Amino acid sequence: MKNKSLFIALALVAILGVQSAKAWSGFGHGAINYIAEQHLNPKAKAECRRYLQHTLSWHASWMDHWRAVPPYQYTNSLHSFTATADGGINWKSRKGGAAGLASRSIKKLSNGKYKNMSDSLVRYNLLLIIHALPDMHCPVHVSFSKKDFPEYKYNLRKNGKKFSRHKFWDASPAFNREGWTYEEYAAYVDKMKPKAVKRKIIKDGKINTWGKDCVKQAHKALAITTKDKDVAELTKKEQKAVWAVADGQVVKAAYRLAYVLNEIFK
Amino acid sequence: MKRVSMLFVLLISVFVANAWHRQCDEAVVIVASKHLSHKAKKLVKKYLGSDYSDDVHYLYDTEKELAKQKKLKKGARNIHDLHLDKNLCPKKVKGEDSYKAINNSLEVVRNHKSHSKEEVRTALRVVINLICDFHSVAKVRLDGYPHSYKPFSYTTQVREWGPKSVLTKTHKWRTSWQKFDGGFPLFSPKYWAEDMEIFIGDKYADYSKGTLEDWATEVGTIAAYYLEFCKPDARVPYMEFKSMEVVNYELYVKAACRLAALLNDAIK
Repeated sequence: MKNKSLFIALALVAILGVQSAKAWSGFGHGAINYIAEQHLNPKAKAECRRYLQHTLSWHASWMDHWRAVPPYQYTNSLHSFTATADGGINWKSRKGGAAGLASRSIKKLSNGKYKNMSDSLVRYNLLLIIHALPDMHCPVHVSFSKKDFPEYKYNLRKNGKKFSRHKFWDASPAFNREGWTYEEYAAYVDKMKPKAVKRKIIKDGKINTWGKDCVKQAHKALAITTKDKDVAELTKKEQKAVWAVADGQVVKAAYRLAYVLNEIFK
Repeated sequence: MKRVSMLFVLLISVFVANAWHRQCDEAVVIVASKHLSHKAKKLVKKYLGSDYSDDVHYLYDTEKELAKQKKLKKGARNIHDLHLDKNLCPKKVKGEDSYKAINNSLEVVRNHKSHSKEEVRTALRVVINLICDFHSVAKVRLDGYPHSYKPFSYTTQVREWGPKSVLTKTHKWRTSWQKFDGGFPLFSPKYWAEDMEIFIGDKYADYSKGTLEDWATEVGTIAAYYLEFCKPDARVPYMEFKSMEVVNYELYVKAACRLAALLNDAIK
């Protein structure tokens, strides 16, 4: 039965080349994958394109579109991860959520193991990685337990009306940037030199390290948009602070995704 | 000559509701230009210049301008439709549909030496503009499916679990084929073209096989399949709805390959 479900899921992924919206928003996911693609080595780029039959951006948001459809409903709780009280990934909650999902798929493909897999399985795992890894970098995709952080249960306002904090941060890379293409956005934010990327972003290349960093950034984000803050009336300083966190997380997710894919196909 | 004059009249009085996003239309031209023969490339360059991605908006822009001046004639937009009979073959229509207009324009391109520069230029623009419309399922008017002639809406069930299981979303038949969901407007034409080239891979020869008539039937078959369950006020399963995007994308890619094939064939 389990095999049958897996077969159906794989077949669907194979048949349906998907796209678009939600989570980091369509823009965020697409931009992360676009930037990541610019940092792939030729072999990794060619392999990704061979398996996915599209650019990374094309598939970037597939998990948001398919989360409601029966074969993929199991991914519905895997778009975020829960933070521990000391600021790490809680691997016991939802098996690590997005971090766990990305981590398991990376493990399955690493050390040349992808070569012994069917193309559809490699493709499926790649699709999980290119969505789940960016998802864990979205500030509101870090869940905090009510017990440890009761102060984080609140909403924002927009033009005086109640507005979802989650919705705001999901779309934060595109905040006040209507009409930007991925290329334009990338030219604006993708400026780090390779050495700095390795030292400041990739670090030891472990999901646990990246998870801790994501938790830190999530705290930072929530400190900017405090309870009942009207996002239509943010000061210039606050807007800059939003972009700093949002853009920072987008490029981190992109560099880390590129690192992971380069490692898989090295 | 008479045909060309008619075409001119139509072009001045017509014009397009864009079938797909402008970026996508431009991408089709970028991809097609990469697959043109040396001779075709040279001729297209002679008439349209080296960068003709803007020509893909020619009809659309002219239409907008005419509409602004209130000079847009009734029924002028029919040139963008593809009329098929019950056997999914192109049928005779009053005036021109995309099938007829492309054929007529290709004839002008084929005999370019006996036409004026402006006539050939216009004919090339028509082919470039209409190849996308021709491959758009939304533009198919199919006998036996009266709802293909009128705008209508259907709904999809967007959630299939939990308390929100009855949540539905309404889509307009025509616009649901005219847009790709999510981030695609965020692709520049160049990036679109890059994505399309990946998808084409080694399938260029396969996609460009056949005649305009064969392709009309192919698009008609797809239209008939979806029109069968996408009826006014119908509830369409989400999986079927999502599959439309995939079908749409492939038609797009085919439009690019076939644009190149048509021009290569006409300019020998």
